Amino acid sequence: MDTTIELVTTTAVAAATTATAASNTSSTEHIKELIKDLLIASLQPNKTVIITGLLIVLLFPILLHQFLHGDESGSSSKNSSLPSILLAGPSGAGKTALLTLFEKRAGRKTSTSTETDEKKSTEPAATHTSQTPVSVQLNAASSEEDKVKKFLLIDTPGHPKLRSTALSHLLPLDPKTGRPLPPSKTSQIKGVLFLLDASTLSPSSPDSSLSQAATYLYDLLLALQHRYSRYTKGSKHPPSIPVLIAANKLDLFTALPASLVKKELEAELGRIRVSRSKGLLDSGVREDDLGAGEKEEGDDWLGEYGSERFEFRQMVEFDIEVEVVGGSVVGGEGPGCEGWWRWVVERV
Amino acid sequence: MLDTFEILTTSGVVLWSRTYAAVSPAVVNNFISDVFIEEKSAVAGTKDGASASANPPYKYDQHTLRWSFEKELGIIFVAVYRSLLHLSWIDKLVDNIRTIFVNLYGDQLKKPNVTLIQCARFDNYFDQQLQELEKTGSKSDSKDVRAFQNEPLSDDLSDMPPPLPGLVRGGRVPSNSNTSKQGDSDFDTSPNASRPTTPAVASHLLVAKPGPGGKMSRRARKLQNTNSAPASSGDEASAKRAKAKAAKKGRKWDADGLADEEDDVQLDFSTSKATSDSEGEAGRRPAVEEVDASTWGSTTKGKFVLRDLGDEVHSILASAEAKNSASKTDAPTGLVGTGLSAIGGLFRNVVGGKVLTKEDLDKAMKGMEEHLLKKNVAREAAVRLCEGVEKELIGVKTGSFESINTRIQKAMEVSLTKMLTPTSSLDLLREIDSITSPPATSLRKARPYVMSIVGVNGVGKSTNLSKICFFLLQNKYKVLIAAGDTFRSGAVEQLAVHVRNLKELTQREGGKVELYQKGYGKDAAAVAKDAVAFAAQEGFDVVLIDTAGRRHNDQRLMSSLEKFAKFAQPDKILMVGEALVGTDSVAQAKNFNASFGAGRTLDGFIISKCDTVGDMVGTIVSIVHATNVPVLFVGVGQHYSDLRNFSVKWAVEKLLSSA
Repeated sequence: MDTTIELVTTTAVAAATTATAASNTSSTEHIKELIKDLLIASLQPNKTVIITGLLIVLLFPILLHQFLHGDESGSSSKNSSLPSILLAGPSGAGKTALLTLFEKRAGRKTSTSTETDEKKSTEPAATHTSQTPVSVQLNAASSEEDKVKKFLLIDTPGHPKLRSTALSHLLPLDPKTGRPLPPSKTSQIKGVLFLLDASTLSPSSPDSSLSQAATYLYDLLLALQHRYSRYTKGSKHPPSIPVLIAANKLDLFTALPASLVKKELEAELGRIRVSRSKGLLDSGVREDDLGAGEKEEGDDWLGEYGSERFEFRQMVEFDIEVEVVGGSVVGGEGPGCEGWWRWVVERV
Repeated sequence: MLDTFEILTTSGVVLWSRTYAAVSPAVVNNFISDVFIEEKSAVAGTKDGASASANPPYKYDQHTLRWSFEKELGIIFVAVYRSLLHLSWIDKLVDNIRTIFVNLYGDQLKKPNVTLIQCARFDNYFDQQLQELEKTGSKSDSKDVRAFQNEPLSDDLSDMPPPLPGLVRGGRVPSNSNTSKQGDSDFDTSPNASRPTTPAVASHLLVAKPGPGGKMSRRARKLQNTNSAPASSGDEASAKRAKAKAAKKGRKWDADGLADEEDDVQLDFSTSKATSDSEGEAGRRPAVEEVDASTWGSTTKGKFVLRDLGDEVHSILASAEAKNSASKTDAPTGLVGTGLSAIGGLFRNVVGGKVLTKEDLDKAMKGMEEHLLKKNVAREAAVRLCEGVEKELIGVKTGSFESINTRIQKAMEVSLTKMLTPTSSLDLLREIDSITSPPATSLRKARPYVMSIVGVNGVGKSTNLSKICFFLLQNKYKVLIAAGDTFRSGAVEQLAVHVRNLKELTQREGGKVELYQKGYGKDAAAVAKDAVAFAAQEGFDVVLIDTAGRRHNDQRLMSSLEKFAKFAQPDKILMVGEALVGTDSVAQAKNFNASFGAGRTLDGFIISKCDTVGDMVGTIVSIVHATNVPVLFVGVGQHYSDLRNFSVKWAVEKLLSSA
C-alpha cells in the first residue's frame, strides 16, 4: 500500500512540476498550485486518506455489481432459492389453467374482493398453447396455524418441440461442458405434477392421447431415474422428486377414473419400454462406447430391469414416488383440484 | 365483423379477450403452434415486433388471423375474423390496441412470477378504438387516424363521455356543435363527420377562406380565449346555454359571448342541416349531460387535465409515435456521451449484463453464419436461422460474465433443438404394431404397414431400404420388399441380392423376407399396389417399396410420384438425402415434399452417408428447415446394422462444435 502511494506521489509531483514549468500566466499558476497542494494532501500517509482509500477499494466492486446486475439479482436470486413444483404434461392437459387457478385462489384469500371477483376467482383463465415456461409464487399453509411457506409453481410448455424445457429442469446440463450439473442445482424441485387429459385417454377413442402422454411420462420418469442413478454416490442419494399424475378433466363424461388411468398408463409405458429396447441405437452412440461399459445394462430401461410388466411401484427403487390422483380444473362439481393442492402443500 | 380479439402471453395465458362470435380455441392454438413453435410460415421475421400489417395473416378453417407480437413482454395480440370479410382497418386496430395495452399494463407485466393482471378497464379502451376505426374504415377514408390526433385542438373534445356505444353518439355531437367554430379536429371520428354538408366540417373548411380578415382574427382570438380560460366552467356554461337555446337559431349560443351575425351568415350554407341536427340532439342532451358531469375534466394551474378516454388513447398513441420517430432520428449526444457508453459497452461485454443491440449482434452473427456455412448448412437456412436468433436476442440482457458469443451459442442451440425435435413421436415399431395388430376395441382391420422410399439418384435408397429391413427382421416382422424401380437396369437384381443376404443373416432371428417383383418396364405405381395387395393376402407385416431415383427438378419424373402415393397408399414416405450434398438439399427436400399431391407430404428423412462428412452435418438442418419434416434415421456406415435413430442432441453438438 505504502509503496504504491509513494509511487503515485512521485509521478503526481513530477507531473505537477512539469505543468508549472510550462505555464506562464499567474492565474493558471494559481490553479496548478492548488491542485498540487490537493494532490500532496491526498497522498499523505495520514489516517483519513488511508481510510477513504480503503473504503473506495472495498466498495467499488459491490457498487459495480449493483450497477450491472442490480435489478435482476434482486429478484432472481431470491426466487431461485424457493422450493419449486414443476408442472408438466402434454399439450392441452390444463397445466396453464391450473396455474392460473391456483394463482387466483391465492389472490382471493389475501385480498378483499367483490361478488363478481369471487365467482371469477374460482375459474381459471382462458389459455392457449404455451411457448415459454412461466412460474408463479404461491403460499402453502398445511394448516391454519402453520407457518406460510412460499414456493414456485413452474409451468412448462407441453408442445412436443418444447418438452426439453421441462426435462432440463430435472437434468440440467452445464452449458460449457455439456456434462450434467450436480444435483444441488436441481434440489429446489420438490415434486413434479404431471397433468394429463383423462377424457381422451381411453385407447379405444379415435383420437386417443394415451400414447402421447405416455411417451412424455416415459421420458420424464427416465430422466428422474437417470438423475437418481447418476448422482448416487455410495449411500448418498440426491433428494427425491416425487411425481403426481393428475388425471384432469374428470368432469367430462368420457373421462376415465384415476384407477383406470393408472392401469392404462402402466400398460402403455410397458409397451414403450419394450419397443424402445428393441429400437435402433441413437446416432450419438459410437460402437466403442458400447463395449467400454460406460453404459450399464438396463440404464435406459425404465423401472425394474427385466421385469415383465411395468408398474409405478417399480419406481420406488429409484426413490421416485408415483401417485395418480383425479380431479378437474374447471367445473364446480366433482373432485376439483383439492387433491392436487394438498399433495403440493405436503411436498413443499 | 370481428369475431374475437385476444391478448395472450407466450406462456399461454389469455390476459384479455373480447368475443363477438364464438371461435373454436383450436384456431388460436393452431396459430400459435404453426407460427411460433413450428415456424411454418415461410416468411422470415415472423417473430418481429413489427406492426400487424408486416406479419403475414394466418388462415385457418375459414378464419383469418391478424396478429402482432410484443417481444419484450411476450404478448401476442390476435384478431380473428371470417376470411370472407375484408376489414381494412384490422391492422390498425391490432397495432393501436397493442400500443395502448403495453402503455397501460406494461409495468404489471414486467413483474416476475405473476401471470394475472388487472385489466378489466381495458374494455372501454378497446371499444373506443374499435368504434373509431370502424368508422374510418366504413368511410373508406384514406386519412390516417393518427393524422388528426396531432392536430392542435383535439383537447377540445375532452368532455366526451366514456365511449359506451349508445353514449358516444350523443356525447360527441353536442361537443362538436359547441366547438365547431373553433376548428374542431376530431370530426372524422364523430358519426356525422361522414356527411360533407354537416356544418361542423363545412363551416370551418369552406367559409374560412373567403371570409374577411377581421373575422379570421376574431376567431383566432376566440380560440385563444377558450384555451386559456378556465375551460371547465366555460364549457359547462356553454353546454347549459346550448340546452336552453337549442332551437332554430342554434348557432347564436356561444360560451364566450362572441357569437355574432357573421356566424349566422356562415350557417346559411347549410341551414337546414344544422337546424335539424341541433333539434335531433336536443332530445338526447339531458342523458348526455349527466355522463358529462362525471367525466368532467378538472383544471390545475389553468391547464386542462384530460380525463377522457378517447383523448387518453390518442395521447398514448401520439406519444408512442413521437417516441418512435424520435428514436429513429436520435443522434448520439456529444463526444463524452458516446465515449462513456462505448467504454461501458466494452466493459459489459466482458462482465455481462449488457443489453444486446443490433450493432452488437451483427458482427457476432456474421461469425455464427460463417460457422454454420462451414458445417455445410445451406446459405438460405443459415441466414434465416441467424436472423431468427438475432431477433430473439435484440434487447436481451446477457448474464454475469457471459460474452455475446456464448449467448448467441446458447440461443442457437435452443433454436436448433427446437427445430430438429419432431412434433410427434417417431417410434416406428409402435406404429407398425398399431397398424398390424390394432387393439381389439378399435374398428380398424389389421393390414400390412406400407413404407416407401424416395430420393434422388444414387443417394442410397436401396441400401437404406435393406438396412431398415434388417432392423425390422431383427424384431421378427415379416417383410415384403417391392421392387418399384422398374427403370434402371440391375435394380431388381440388386434388391434380390439384398434379400438373399438378409435371409441368410436373419434366419436365426425368426424374421421372414420376400421380394415382390414384376420385372422392368412396368408402371411402378401399379407394381406397388399389387405388392400391397399381395402382402395383405399372404400375411406380411410390413411392405417396403423401393422407387426409382429421380432428379427433383424433372417435372415429368416427379409427377409420377403423385400417382404412386395414390395407388400404394403408403403409411410412411421416407426420403433419403445424402449428407454430402450442399445447398441443393433445400431444393431437393422442397420438391419431393410437394410432389405427392395435396394433403400428402413426406413423413421423414433418412440422412445417408453421415460417416463421410464428420462434423459437417448441416444438410440435416437445411432440409428440416426447408420442410419441417423430421429426420428419422441416419446412415452411419456400410453394414446392415449401420442405421441409427436420429438424436437431436448429437446433431446440435456436432453443429456447434468449433473443432
